Amino acid sequence: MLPKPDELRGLSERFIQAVEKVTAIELRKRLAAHALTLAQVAEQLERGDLLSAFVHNANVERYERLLAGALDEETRAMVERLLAEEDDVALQKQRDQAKWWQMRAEELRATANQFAEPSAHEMLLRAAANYEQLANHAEGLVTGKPKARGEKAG
Amino acid sequence: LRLPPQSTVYLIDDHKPVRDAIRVLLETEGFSVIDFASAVEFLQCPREIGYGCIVTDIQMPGMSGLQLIEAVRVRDKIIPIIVITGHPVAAVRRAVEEAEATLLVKPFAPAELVAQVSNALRGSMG
Repeated sequence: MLPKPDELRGLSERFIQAVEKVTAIELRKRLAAHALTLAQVAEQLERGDLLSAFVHNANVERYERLLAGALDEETRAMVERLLAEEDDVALQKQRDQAKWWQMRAEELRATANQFAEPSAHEMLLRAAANYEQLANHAEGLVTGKPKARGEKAG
Repeated sequence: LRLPPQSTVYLIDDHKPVRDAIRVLLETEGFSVIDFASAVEFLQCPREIGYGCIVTDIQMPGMSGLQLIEAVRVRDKIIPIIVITGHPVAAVRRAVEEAEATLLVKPFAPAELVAQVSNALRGSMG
């Protein structure tokens, strides 16, 4: 049974994203060709809804043949691997950023404690709280769970 | 904006997923692609007569691919045109023949499009 047009379109987008991650020219060409096949079949299936069932059914076998390469388990797994590597790099960057903001917050708190003058002390604590908020926000993006105010990131 | 001539493929398709996929495919093959979401958008951009090639869909809202071919041929008799459509009805086939264009029926094999574009640009560059 053929996948739904939405699924094929989603796959086409992922194949296009994967093209951008690959440097090997032949693999880039292969992934781009699969992306086009997926997008075309999605478009035809969608428009096929408006045509007779007879026309639609007559084309199913042809679509399945065209999609065989793109829907091959190994090819799809490779695309997911390529995109997962990219996600890992982005997540690590986000984690590093959260840690840096957390460290800034701690430094500013330590500096604040060296100031006896109340307004300077207060200003530094406020800046520290802002950095802490940024750290929590970044950490929340990584874990998918926003941290409560005052809870430490990292 | 003046569009660059020679090996440029002017791609016109309102369906974004197909347009994006064609652009990426042709770019990985080394072609320079400028894409448009509508025929009107394409016609508004000035370009050198006879250079590059056009790849256009037929069923588009507003100005159709058939109207686009007609408008192009009034001014430019030589630019190669590749028509891509899922519904190659008689009117489309007739218009393609009259415009001396090439017809590809969706879903076509990506290698077929690459081959047609290569041929078209070879002819276009003399």
